Amino acid sequence: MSEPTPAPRGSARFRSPVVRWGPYVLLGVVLVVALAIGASRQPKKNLSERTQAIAATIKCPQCTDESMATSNAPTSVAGRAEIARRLQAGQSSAEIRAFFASRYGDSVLLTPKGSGFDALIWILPVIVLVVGFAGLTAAFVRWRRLAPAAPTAGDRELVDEARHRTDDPPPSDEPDEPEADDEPPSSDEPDAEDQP
Amino acid sequence: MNLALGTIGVYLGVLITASAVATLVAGLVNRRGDLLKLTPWFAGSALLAALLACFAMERALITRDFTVLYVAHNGSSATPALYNFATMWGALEGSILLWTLILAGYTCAITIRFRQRLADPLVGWAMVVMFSVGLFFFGLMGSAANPFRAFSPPVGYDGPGPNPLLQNNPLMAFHPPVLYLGFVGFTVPFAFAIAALVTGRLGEGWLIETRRWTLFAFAFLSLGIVLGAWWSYEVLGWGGFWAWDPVENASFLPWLTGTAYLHSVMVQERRGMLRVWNLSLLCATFALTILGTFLTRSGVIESVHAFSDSDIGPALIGFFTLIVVVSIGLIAWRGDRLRSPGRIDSPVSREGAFLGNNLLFAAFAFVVLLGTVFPLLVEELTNRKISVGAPYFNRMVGPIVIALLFLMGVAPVLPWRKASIETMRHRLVWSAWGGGLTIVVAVALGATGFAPLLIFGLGGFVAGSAIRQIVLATRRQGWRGFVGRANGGMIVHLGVVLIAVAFAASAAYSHQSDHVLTPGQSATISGHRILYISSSTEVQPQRRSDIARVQVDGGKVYTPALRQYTAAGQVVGSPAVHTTVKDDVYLTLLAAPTHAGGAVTIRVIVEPLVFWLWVGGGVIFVGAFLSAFPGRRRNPIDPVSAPLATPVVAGGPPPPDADPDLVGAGDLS
Amino acid sequence: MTARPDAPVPPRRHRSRVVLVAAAAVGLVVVGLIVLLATSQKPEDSADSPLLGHPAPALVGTTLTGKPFSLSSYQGKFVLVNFFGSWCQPCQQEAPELRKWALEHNAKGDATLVNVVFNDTPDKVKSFFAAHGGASWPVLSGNTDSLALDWGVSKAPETFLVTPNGTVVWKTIAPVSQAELDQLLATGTAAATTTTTGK
Repeated sequence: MSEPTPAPRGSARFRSPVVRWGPYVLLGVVLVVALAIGASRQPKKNLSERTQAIAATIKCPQCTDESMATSNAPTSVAGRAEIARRLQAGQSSAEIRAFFASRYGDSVLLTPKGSGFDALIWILPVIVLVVGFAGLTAAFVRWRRLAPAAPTAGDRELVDEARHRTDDPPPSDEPDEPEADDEPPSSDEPDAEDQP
Repeated sequence: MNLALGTIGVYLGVLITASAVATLVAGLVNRRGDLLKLTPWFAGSALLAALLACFAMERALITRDFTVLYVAHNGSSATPALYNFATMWGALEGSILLWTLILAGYTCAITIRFRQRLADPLVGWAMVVMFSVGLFFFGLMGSAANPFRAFSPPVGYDGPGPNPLLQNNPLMAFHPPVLYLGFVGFTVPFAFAIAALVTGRLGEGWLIETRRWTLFAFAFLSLGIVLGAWWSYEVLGWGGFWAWDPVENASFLPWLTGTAYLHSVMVQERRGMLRVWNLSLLCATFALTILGTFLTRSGVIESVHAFSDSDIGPALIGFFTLIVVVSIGLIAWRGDRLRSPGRIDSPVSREGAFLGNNLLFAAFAFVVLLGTVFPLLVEELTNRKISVGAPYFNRMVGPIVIALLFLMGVAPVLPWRKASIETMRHRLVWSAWGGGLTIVVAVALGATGFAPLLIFGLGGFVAGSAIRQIVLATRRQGWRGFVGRANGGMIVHLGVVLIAVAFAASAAYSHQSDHVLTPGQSATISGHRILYISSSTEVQPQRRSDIARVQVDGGKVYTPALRQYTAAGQVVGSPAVHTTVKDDVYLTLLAAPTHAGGAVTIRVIVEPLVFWLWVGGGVIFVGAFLSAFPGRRRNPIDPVSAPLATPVVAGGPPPPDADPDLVGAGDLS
Repeated sequence: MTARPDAPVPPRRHRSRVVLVAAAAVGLVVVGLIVLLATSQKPEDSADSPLLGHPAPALVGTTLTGKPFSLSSYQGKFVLVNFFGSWCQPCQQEAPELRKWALEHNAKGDATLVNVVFNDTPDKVKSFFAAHGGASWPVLSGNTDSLALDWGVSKAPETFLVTPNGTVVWKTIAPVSQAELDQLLATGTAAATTTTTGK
């Protein structure tokens, strides 16, 4: 789609909301439908794939840091065969994992439990995110409280001086003006950011 | 002879870097510019010392000189030439040698780049830091990790050769050097960060000077990580390329903080804010490279990629402590100078997006680090053993990646300072539809699953934003629309999209099955037909291989094999991969025929879009270099270490009333 | 960036304090990490097993001589289950000790030794025993991979002691000696559930 013919700057305000937001609403509908269709299809996994999926969550006991899915050690090969046998016998992945844990100990499971001390590994990242987000929010609230300074006469003098000395206008102290619809806005112009 | 040459090289290196540090510090403290001007001599001779040591090692390897212990343990007359050459970095001591060589190279490069400003204290302190790090690594080689230990080989001795997994694929020759170019490259911005803190010149000058170095390091680190993944894929035989292994995580952590830095530094350049945060990120990135080196070499955490146990653990953790203490100390000391009166007007702005980006990357790095060291923590505190593997990382990292992809799509169209809904609505419509149509096309092609579809959609969204930016730029500037910080960055984003989409597709839509085939029998998997032709056995000096010949889709014949290395005794599978743009057919020989004309067991994994992972890595590499391309206009008023007052030096007179933080404290010549 | 005389500047003390506090917090976490890494031992194998104190898993197979074997038929006696391979050095080291112990208690009739092959071929095992004086006790050699899985065995040698009523009470991964085994039996290990670490 080519850019629309340059229109007077204020024309955006006169286009009706339907024209302005229609494409997004339509997109929303399309997305919901497509995702619903896609998500509802169940990919069928054969025995080998289901075995690999479970083996990927169990550590190979005789290797240094590999899962049963990736290792070729005899214990892993036997382990995968055992998983396949139990899958065919109808056991669930939780039961199979419990079997391995009951023989090799909890350390053979590659996912830490969600209870006790181990739960920290699940909780700490969430805490970090929440704290970080809260910190950012606090910072924005504080910044909002600091009123933006209006340029003083001294500031304007400096700007004029700099302007006369160089080719390029220095970055302006004033907030950027709202851009016209049909022009790439100046504030993300590649030129301004190509400085060495 | 090799031992002598190598040892001379190492000790010379220690001597040169030590005297460099002493001389430069004396010059800086006593304001003697003449001492600082000696830097090129120190840098050049340090590089020569490193080159001498490397030359000695390679000569020993090539001539199979088993009087050198390293060659006796890692070399062999049976190892082919390329792998023999690459054995220099195949084991622990040699890898330190490679690191030192690259560090000496970077030191020289900086000296050349800043040759006209060597008397500037900022550059001087940066060189002090570079030489100090060089002293540490030369010192390691002179003590705990000595590659030139002597050995008396018995008559007829032949070494065991490198680890069999390191002899399977030519990528061995490329992955470590490229990766180290990335790791070591981050020493440069770190050195300048420390220099800025020490000299108190905390304006944006040093940032602008080192931007390209950071980009180079980022480019090589990204490429190095992708090459490592490719190498794992081609060699290890399970059809995957990233297992959240501790060593992989160790290389990934500095990438995360480095990428966060590359984004937030733009906020600092534009608004003068986030100085403390950026300095911390830079110091953290370098510290993480040292931490990664420690994790890989100390044996504290088990990994299939780790080097063998050694004694350099304490030295590395000590160095890490030193770096952390110095960094935190300097930042705390200069805390008052780092304050900025600026503010960010609105969270819905590019600054806000970069802040969000940094928060997400910080969380990402935290998750990776926590998952890697948590087993240690649990063992120390509760005396139990647990394992944390790929399932944990995949589950925790998924939401973060999705949030990052969303930001990647939105941020390039966000204006600085404040965005209005109108602006965003107008600018995002194409990208949004790009994402939506990607999902529709994927669903039409039969894709399933909410998470992969979401990633495809976000990938389309991000690609839309990136392409929009590039199109606008090329319209106005022609070919220059592809270079420069913003445009190169968009190309890097495209590379990331390729990797994200390929990762999601290959993780979600792979099909695997095992087949027992007699000669001439074929099987069909996911639209591909494999035909087992025959088997053979090949005996070479260093290994014995059972090779199966398999034809894929009536075309080329591939040879997955099982190889038994005589020295190590272990049997290593050697997969064969049929790569197309659409998907890979990954063949592993599980069981060789027990008798002539017998059946083989072949595992076939069909993984979609894997090819695009490697392409994406290349695109990131190219994009980072494009991003470093100089802009058209060089602002004559370079807000960099230009001298004050009278001495007239290249760089032009400083603007009057300029911020003293930006203008340098003066030249000492 | 020029200073703005009009803009409110955050008080210098406040900003430094924030930075100091943040630096201290980060420093503490990093110091904790360093201490953790510096004091961590290299990972070692331990003889912890979740089987201790539980009924023994089934042990069913065929011996080297082709006879069928089942652990349940040995109820009422102590059984020492030893997983081994001819390739493993500690196994070679403990083989004579195990042999002496087995012969002694076979004669007494209160305990018996059962060997299970781990990651090895029957031929190599046969020559192993030929070199070590033969085996007059069951040596399971068929389908031993799933047996190893059932018992949580990941390396060789691993040795388990099963009481007469079928409970696993002891496991070691170190090579054993006859004296040690005799003492184990003598203390009536029904009460003790010891674990031993070692190489």
